[in-house]
Amino acid sequence: MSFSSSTRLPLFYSIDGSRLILLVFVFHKALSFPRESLNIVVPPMHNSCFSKTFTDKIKVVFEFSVVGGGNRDIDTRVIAPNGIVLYKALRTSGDELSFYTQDGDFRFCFRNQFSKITSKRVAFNIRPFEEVEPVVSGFNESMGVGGHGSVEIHCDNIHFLLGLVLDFQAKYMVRESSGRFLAETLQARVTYCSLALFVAVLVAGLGQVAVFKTFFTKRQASTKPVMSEEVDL
Amino acid sequence: MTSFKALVTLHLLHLSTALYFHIGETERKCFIEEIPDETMVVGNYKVQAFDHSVKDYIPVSRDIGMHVDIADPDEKTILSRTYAAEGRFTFTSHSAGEHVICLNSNSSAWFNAGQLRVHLDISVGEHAVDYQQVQAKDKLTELQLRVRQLLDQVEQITKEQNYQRYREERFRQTSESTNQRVLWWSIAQTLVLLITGFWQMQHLKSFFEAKKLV
Repeated sequence: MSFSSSTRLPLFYSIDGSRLILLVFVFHKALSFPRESLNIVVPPMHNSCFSKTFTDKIKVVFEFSVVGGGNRDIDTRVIAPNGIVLYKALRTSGDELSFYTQDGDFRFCFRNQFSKITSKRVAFNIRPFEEVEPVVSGFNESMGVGGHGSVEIHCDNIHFLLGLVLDFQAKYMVRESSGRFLAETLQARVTYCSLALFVAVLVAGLGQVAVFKTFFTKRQASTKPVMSEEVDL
Repeated sequence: MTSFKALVTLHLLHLSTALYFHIGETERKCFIEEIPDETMVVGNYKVQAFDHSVKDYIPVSRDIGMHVDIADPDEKTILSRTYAAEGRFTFTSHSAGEHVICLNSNSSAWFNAGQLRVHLDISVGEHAVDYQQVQAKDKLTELQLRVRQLLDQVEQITKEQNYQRYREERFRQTSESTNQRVLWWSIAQTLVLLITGFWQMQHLKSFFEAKKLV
């Protein structure tokens, strides 16, 4: 699972403040929809689909991650409006992909049909590749870019960077969730495994002696009688 | 006035491009929001029903409503209400953790086999605040509003970090408990093995002696 932000961020390290401002305004223009982010449970033998309508050609990022349930895997499909399957991953635990949209409804499907008992918890989000939240919408239109004072520009930048911080936090949250799920499964497994081992060791220990004893009692009994009894052993 | 109109159209536009999904009229769909405490969550939704004559989904004319159930991390219901076919629900979390939001239509069984399309948009925390409204209500200048938004954002980050710290603590507790269990179990297992082995030897020894094999 790779994070696009890690590829996006280095942009900002190398540039000075004024360039950053420019970038922010470019992003403002490129923005076309706010991030969609949901956390769902897909029951066993179920298929859960979500659709989103797009009108323009923009680059979109779709990211999903199975937070918990079973082997943390699910079948995922992204279907374009013309019915072409853009992306198909069988029994994966998470991925991130980007694609260009077209006019129409894109479908994002999570299929848990292969699972008979376990339901899966899936976190996914759909966001524009160049993402920034609009500062209070309508500002740019009412004032025009030239009308901004430097304080406003700084506010915009702080807002943009805080948005990135929130973004990272959301990512860590998903990671932490799946980590915790793993830890809890591990704990349960350790508990049951040790209980089973405890029983196994006792049974083996007692059983060994019991088997050994019967072996010798039969041996002793079989020394006296006739040969035909030897066949039974 | 014009800006208000623009806002309303923007809002509707937003909802029509929001994610949508299909459910049967008696089906129930749940979403999980993992949020810190004192965080506002706003959900906007719109229901459409499949019309066989138009062969498309159209806004529902019948009196179909949406029943919204929201449970907090202790599985206590904090909101359970039936809303209209299009609307918004709001709640503020009191404890941090997983909040489960469940939607199902209130139609009764004799309506069955109908398919519904539900557009849903859930905004959390600072995203849920309608700043246009805040500006209008508190009579803020643009700069004040921006600073206000930044403040909200920082507050949200603080809350989330606090929550993250709590979660990390819980995670570590689980891991440490696993570690303890593994450790004690391996010691216990070694002891059990030694005792069993010792008992086996003693028992067999006395057995062989009794049987006069040695």
